[in-house]
This record gives sequence, structure tokens and C-alpha cells, in this order.
Amino acid sequence: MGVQAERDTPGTLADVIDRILDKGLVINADISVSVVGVELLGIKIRAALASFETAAKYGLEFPSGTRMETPAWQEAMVGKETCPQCGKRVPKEELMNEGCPWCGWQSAKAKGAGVVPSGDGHRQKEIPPVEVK
Amino acid sequence: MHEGQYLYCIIETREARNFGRIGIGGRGDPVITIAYRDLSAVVSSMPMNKYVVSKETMIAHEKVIEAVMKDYTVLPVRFYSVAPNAEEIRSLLRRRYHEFKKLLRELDNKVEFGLKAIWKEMDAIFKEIVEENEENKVTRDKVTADSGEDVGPDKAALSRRVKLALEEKKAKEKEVLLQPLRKVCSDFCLNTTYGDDMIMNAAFLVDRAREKEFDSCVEQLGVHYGERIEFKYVGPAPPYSFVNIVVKE
Repeated sequence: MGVQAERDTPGTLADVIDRILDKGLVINADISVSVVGVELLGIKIRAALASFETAAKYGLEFPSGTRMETPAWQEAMVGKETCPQCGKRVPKEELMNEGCPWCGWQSAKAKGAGVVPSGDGHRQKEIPPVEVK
Repeated sequence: MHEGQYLYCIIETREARNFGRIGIGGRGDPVITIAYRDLSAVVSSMPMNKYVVSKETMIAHEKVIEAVMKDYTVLPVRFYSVAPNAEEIRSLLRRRYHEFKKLLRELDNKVEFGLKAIWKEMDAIFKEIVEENEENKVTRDKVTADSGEDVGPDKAALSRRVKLALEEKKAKEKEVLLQPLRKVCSDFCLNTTYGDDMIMNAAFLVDRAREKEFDSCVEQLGVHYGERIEFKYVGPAPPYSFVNIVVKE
């Protein structure tokens, strides 16, 4: 049963990010500390967003059978996707069908088919995964 | 381009060491030491102003420290600390000599273990929260009854109570998990948890002589709570969470 809590060796990316980016000895002297700040912020924001969306999802699924009609719930229920160009979080439907409202990035789908009016509720397209580097 | 010294960690030795051509940046730079008395900084050469934040550079930073850790107690330095030259590093060691020595003594022969505890089935946890409280149960039934009545305020109140109850439940279960571990570690710190399902995100400072004992404590947690909780156990890692020195000037 020990399998349940077996030890992993450190060095996987997720584990390393947890440690090396915001812990350890910090030297601000004549030693130049990094441009990491900007990147780090990005990572933190992504983590926060991911956890909010998880929370929203569970909140919505609870209690079972509840219908959520209020605008706040509706807002939270919209699945969001990361714009591959500017990294902002945009409602999935809007990003795929119309493009990114922040930077103007257009998906292949929007380019190919022209802008499809959203909200018909029948589209069941697969959303391709967005790689976050 | 001007070459700087990328700093990985600080160790106690006056001996010149070479840890191999494993330096950050992918050029195969040798990882060597710069000494001041019996303190040494572990460094490798890298071009100044050429900063690449990537999976490779982050893993390289960690791997170097892990290699050094095989032979020494380390004070890990934060990612991307680069000095313009070796003299700056020697001066840093000189100015902070006593502080670094003291911390190295405290961390002597100790390593860090990370342990995250995550609920496996959130549906079940939310169900427990409702079932454990009569008032929540009644509200839940009312909200889901579909009687045509306006249940908006009830829903809002219920979600607030569930959120609170979730935090309480987390705190309670975290204490239970921590209890056997805190007896075996030298120190521990609790980091921020992410998401509804993470109960605990902790780092433990463990003496190498007690590693086995700590392992079996974690294993016992797995035996007792493994059905309900997933444990992510990582180590031995450099003691990042227990080095809180900020050098400002």
C-alpha cells in the first residue's frame, strides 16, 4: 500500500518552479537578479486562474441539480482559454470563433470560416489544447 | 558579450572543486567554486544579459544544486542570480560571512521534502459537507426542489457556508496529517495551497539521519488516508524553504 505515498525525486518542472522561483537566498546587491519577475508573475497568474476556474466549476456542480441563472454564475460558467499570442484569458467560444479581443489574434477557424455568430448553442467543436511554455 | 558568474548555491569548503560541465545555458560550462576563507560559492560562467527562462534553464539550475548536495550542505540561491565577476562574489561572501556560516550550521546535514495532500474526489467532499450539517441539507433540498419559488438568496447563503465549511475541513484534516510528521522533522513550513482540493502544501526540513523514519511516516499516511487523499511526496531537495536571507546592499 506504500505506493500511495512513494517518494519522487525532485527535478520535475512543476516541482522545480515551486521552489527555485520564489524561495532561496535572494541577492539584490551588485549581483544582478534577473528578469524573472515578469515571467514569474505570468506563472502565478496562470496558477491563480486555473484554481479559480476549478473552484468555479465545483461551485457550479454543487449542490447537484441546481440551476444557475444569475449573471455571476453564468459568467463563471463560461470556459476560458489562454490566447496563444498574448496569454490573456478569454472565453473559449469567443476566442475560437471570433478571436482575441485584446491582441486581435485569430484562430484558424475564425480565419477559415469568417466570423461565425456565437450563441447558437449547437456547436460542439473540439478545442485544440493551447501550449503554455 | 561580457561573461558573468551564475550563482547556484553557497557551501562550506575552502577547497577548489569542479562539479563537471553541467552549467546553465547549454554550453557545457564547468561548474566550479569561488572561495572566501572556508565559504565557497558554486558558479558557472554565462553571458550577462542573455536571460532565457525556460524548462531547460530551470531544470539545469536545480540539477546543479542537487549534484552539489551529494557532497555538501547547501544554501540554495534563487533562480537567475548573476554577478558581473568573481570579485563581486568574493565580496558577497566576505560581507555576509557570519550570516552564511550560521545558516549553514543550522542546515547541516539536512534536506527538504515537499508534501502535498490533495483530495481525490471533490464531489464526495462537498457531499460530506452538506450531509454533516442539517441546515445545509435543508437548504440544498429547498434549492434543488424546483418549486418555482425564488431561491436566489438561499443559494448564495449556501455557497458561502459551503466555502467556510470547506476551509474548516481542510484545516482539520491538515492538522491530522501534520501531527506525525512534525515529530520527525527539524522544521516545517506551510505554503499556499491551490484550488479547492489541496489540503496541504508543506515543506519539511529533515535530518539525513532521519530520512527513513520520515519516509515511513509519509507511507503510513498513505496507508491510512490513501483512498481519500492523494499525496505528492518529493525529495530530497535543496532546503529552499528554509533559507530566507535577502541581501540588499
